[in-house]
Amino acid sequence: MPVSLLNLIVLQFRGFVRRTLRGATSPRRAVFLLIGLTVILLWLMPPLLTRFAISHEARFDRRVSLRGFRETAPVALLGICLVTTLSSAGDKAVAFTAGEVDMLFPGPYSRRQLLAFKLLKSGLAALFTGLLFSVLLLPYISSWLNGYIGIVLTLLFIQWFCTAGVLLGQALGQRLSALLRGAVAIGAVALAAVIVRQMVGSYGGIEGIYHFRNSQLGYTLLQPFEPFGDTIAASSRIGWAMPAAKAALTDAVLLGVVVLLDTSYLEAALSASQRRYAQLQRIRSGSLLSSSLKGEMKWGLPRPRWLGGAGPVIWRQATTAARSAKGLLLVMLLIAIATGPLLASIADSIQVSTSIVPALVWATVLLSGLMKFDFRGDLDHFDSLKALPIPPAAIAVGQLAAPTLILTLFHVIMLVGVSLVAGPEGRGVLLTTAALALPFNALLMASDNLIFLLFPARPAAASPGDFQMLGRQAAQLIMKGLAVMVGCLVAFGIAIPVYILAGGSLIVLALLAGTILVGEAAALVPLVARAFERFDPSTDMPA
Amino acid sequence: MPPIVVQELHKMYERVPAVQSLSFVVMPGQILGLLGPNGAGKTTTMRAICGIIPPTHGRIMVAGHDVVSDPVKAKQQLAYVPDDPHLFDTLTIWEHLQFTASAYRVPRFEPLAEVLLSQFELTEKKNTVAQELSRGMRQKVAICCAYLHNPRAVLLDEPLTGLDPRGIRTMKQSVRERAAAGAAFVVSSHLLALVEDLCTHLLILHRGQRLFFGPIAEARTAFVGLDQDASLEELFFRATEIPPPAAGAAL
Repeated sequence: MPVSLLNLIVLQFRGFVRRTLRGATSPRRAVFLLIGLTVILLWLMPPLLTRFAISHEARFDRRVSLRGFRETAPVALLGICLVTTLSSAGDKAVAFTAGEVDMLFPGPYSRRQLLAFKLLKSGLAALFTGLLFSVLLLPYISSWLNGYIGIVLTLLFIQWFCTAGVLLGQALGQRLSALLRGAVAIGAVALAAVIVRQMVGSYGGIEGIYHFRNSQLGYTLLQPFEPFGDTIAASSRIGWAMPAAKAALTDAVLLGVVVLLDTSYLEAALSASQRRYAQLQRIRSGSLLSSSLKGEMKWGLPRPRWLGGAGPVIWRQATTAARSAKGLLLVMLLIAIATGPLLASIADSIQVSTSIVPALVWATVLLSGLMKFDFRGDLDHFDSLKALPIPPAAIAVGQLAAPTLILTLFHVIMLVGVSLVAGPEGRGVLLTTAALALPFNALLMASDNLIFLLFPARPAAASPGDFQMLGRQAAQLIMKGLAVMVGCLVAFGIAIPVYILAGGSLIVLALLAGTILVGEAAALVPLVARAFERFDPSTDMPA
Repeated sequence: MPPIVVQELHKMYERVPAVQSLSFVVMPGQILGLLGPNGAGKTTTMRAICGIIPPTHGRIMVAGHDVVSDPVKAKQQLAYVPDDPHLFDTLTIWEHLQFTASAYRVPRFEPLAEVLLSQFELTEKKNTVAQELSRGMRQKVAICCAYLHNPRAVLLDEPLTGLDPRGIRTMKQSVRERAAAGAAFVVSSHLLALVEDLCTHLLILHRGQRLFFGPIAEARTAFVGLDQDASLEELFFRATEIPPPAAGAAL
């Protein structure tokens, strides 16, 4: 590989370090950097402390409990490979940055040199990422080095599998590649159905995965993935060597496939880079869920009403949400897959009602971060929004309406669906929660947007090593959580005593708590409007 | 009533002045060319007129309405096309016009929208989503949206970027026609030939300060050592490279 490409890797690493340390340039940034480093410490300290605090015997017990990891790792790897084959996630392994495309592709480098550059870069990234994962698994693995090597081999496997997949797609051509993907998709759905059936069926939960793994189909499908889990979780050096050799051999075979298929590497890398660049631009502007739309749109929502100026804004965001329905439905489907079998496996209705709460909180945090059909997704449109002849309060209401309504719809569907399974005892609580979804989501979205307008940040700016951005995001999450928690504490602090006095009437609870939450959300709207009015795109726009 | 009045506009970015004590008036039918090197304060001035960024000091009136104290009424009368218009990715061209019509409360916008689309050769693409459009087409969509509510003041920042020759001709023609109908235009551009060809008045900015404001024909007499037949390019370099004899030089 030419020295200039090696130099570039060194320079890019220096840039990475520079970016990591840039937080110290101003007091505000230094605070965010500190929070970011604290988050990382909080993340890494428990496994480190556990590793050194627990006794050898206890560690042995944990290693025994690592059976779960060893059993599920091949299934997880299979899942990752299927997802990258069916989605554009594999592009990341082949894609170059926009700067690399413009500077290196027309440069005096051969195809193989660029491939080597990319593979070396991804290999170095695997070494770094493997370090973090190895710390997290520290309490469980017998030897740090063995586990680390296992993790790095696994990461390289994923990267090279993705690269081989993209190159194969390019070699087969668009039509054949689409056919192959279709066949894989059908197979993946059938496989998921088998696993889910076993998880919710007689074996229940994780035992269903063990059963699938021991079946003939599971054994055959998971063979190539077995050595990776075994390498990471090996309990002795002898037990580690054989799976490690197998894993390294699998990686070498994949690398050979990549080199064999590299005839169209530049073309594949260029298309992947363009797709990834467009995707990153969308993420940077805040449109996390919007996918690439092509061709003519034959449908649209009816013409907007004025509604004091909020109507056109709601209409615009609702249209964006409707056009992003594919991404939204996918996320909701994933949430249903993740929580559905768990809830369905609980027979007791009261237990269902209590189990849905953490599931609901998790889904709400995930979805509210993704559904940026509001100010958070309009970073690149602030000029247009501010130039509109619409009062800021109406713009604020319009911006908050779409995500609030969509999130409420999701909550209501989920709660009503579970209440049908739950039986009469839990039904009342679930339906009361469904009734409170709208005021709660209004409060959540208003808080989220207010914090965003006061501390704006671009989502894609948080890349590995950007501790300052990590700190900023953690601080925002804490502020949002606090705002919503205080709002809920006030609402339920008043509503629950009244509910008890009213003889346990859920209707009274829903009405009172709902009214207070609506009042709190309404009180935040003028603040959101004021924050929007004060937002100066020339100085407040994040880079 | 003048469509645009700027009085003592002052805009600071932290401690750095972007625009200082800038005053000018654009009357109906006038096309004002806004010239200046990079960082002169052209875009800041335009964004302040549109109410996108707040002025640090000074007063801006659009069609008799103060942009700061009466922003909705002021914005109703103006249109702004930025140098790199960001359209709403998931909306089609037609939906952009539909949204603009609803935001500016244009009742029966369809016939006018069809005329504009035809004028800018976008009719066949009207159901295409914005993220599929080329740079030039996005520019045309932004111009169509700007014209839809018949604004009294139009601000164009580098309006020809990305346009094909036919698009450039249509654009220039539309500016002349609308100016003749009484609209006031502010056109910011580094293309001196465009400014010379299109504009009736000139405002030259340098480091946030006004070097010249007045009819384009008077610009040559405002700077000593310039021939009467000097090109706008010569005038520009003369104005921006040698400081004027006195602040303002000419009104």
